[in-house]
Amino acid sequence: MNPDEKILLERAKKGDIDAFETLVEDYQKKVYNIALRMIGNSHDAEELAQEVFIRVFKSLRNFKEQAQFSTWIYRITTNLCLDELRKRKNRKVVYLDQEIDTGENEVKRQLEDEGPTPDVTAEKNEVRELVLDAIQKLPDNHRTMLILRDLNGMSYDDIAKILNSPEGTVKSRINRARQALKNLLKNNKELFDNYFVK
Amino acid sequence: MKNCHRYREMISPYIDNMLDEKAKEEFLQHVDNCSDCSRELEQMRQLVSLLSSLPEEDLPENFRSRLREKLEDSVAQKRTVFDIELFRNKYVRIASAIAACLVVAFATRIFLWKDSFIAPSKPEKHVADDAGDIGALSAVEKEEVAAEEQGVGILALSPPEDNTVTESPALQETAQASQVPESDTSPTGTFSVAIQGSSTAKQAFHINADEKDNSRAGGTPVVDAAEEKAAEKAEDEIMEEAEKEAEETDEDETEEEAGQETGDAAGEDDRAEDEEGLRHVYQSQCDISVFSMNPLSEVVALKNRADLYGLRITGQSPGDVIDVATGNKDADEDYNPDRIVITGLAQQQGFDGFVAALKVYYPQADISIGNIDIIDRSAEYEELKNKINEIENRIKSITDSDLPEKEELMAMLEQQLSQYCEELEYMEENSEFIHLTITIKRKN
Repeated sequence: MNPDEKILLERAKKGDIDAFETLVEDYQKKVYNIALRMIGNSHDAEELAQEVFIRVFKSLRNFKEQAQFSTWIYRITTNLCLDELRKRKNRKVVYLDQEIDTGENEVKRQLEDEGPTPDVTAEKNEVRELVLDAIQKLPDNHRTMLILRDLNGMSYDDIAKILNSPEGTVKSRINRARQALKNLLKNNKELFDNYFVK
Repeated sequence: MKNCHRYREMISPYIDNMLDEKAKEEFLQHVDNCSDCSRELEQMRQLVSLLSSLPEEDLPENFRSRLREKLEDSVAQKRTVFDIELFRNKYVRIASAIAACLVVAFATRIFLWKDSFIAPSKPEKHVADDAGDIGALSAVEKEEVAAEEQGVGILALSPPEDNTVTESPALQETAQASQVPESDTSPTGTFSVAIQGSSTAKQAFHINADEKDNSRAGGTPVVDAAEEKAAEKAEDEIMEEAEKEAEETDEDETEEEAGQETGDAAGEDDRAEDEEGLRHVYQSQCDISVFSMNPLSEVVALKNRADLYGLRITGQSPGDVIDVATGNKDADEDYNPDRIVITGLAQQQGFDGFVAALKVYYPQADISIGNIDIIDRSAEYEELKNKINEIENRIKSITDSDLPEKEELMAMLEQQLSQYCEELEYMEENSEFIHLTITIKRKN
């Protein structure tokens, strides 16, 4: 932590919002992006990212300076995201494309299409979107790894600290998460044949 | 097919430059000679570059201004609490003033009484004798004053019966802090009696203030406290003894429990009449359920979570049957929706992280840790190595043969091999294991 940050931190601890804003300026985008990829929609991600900063602000006093400020923020972020995902699973969110169990045979939920028009959808079919969709389908633990490592370029060491997990574990989890994503993408034969070497 | 599984695990670390020189060399040598692994490496490389090319999204419009609003709100909230504190100090001042008046009145009485005693010209010696009596009397009176003071405080503020709530160190700290300036202005011993009375009253008031605070924030303070505690804990990464940890946890729990006592008691009745049977929500100021739904689905979530920390859950209840007391499987007959027990294997650090996370996820739960054994898996490791060798040999022999069911057999063996290799690799990463039982239970 550089001296400027230290001063800002001291002021923020005393409730100075301006100092706090400057202090976390650099983290806002990253926290939002982590939340966005974890949760999958921008509205909830924004709420969550804001909640992260409120928590950080309120618990600045508890921040021990031997830890990295960034690690601490990202730890709060991942914990809040995972917690939110857990709550959702329990809440049993009904997804629009979920199959309705009628008892005899399953029927797709029919809804009026308010979504993007076909040409927008065509755009959506880009590789990137497909990859992002696939990431959303991964289990939470794999998704967390890919988001921290590949989408946000954090080091193994940082990830280990953020998750408070041994580095060896992080190493093998990252590999497994990538394997899992690759397998998911393999199901999309067209994409895979075009994009990956056979 | 030459032990490819081992090298497959090295692909990501290789791409991220996380292999040491020796391993790197070995890996490259293998990849040069194995077309499967070479292709696998290439695909993985492409995937990684594809992932890192995904653009970062910009912050939503007004993100900063909305955050600013929320931050200002939270500061304003703090101010209200501060106002209450000011009011509290005011109360202390009033109480001290009353006490001071009483002291003056009391002193005057002694003075008058002494006066009237001295009045009938008695020998000097007697006065000295009686001084002792005065002392004795004043001690009795002091007690009366104290009782009176406390009575005033308690009546005025009607604190909850259970005073353990005030045991929290934070509360005591504030109590002491505001006591200091008061005692500075009180040179006499009698005065400190008054302080004692008023500080009891103050503590009682403190509870009320806290309750208010809780209900306004919808129970979040408790979560915050738990989170902070967990975060704090997570920061202390190294722990000497597993048992010590268990003790600490117990302490933490008691503190938390104390803070929530009132809330839990209120939830008791609702629980009994719970219609859904599995869903339990506290109807108190802290409206947080321990298991928001079925503990069975909770267990599934827990397994994923545990995986993040390199924890291996080897059994759980519900799901498996586990004896809560011993952690042994197949002894737990009564299915209990209020409780999750998991047993597993973990490395010390991963275990610490996991427990810290649990405290965040289940702020309202008792999390107890039992049966922690450090286990030596070296024999198991050797055994596993032998098994892998054996299978590799069998695969070799089958490859050369022309058995009719060759392909099926190969597939089966390879699957087995992959499982063993994964296990072996896991053991190599985690040289020292602890075997643990964690119980997550709703507080009673």
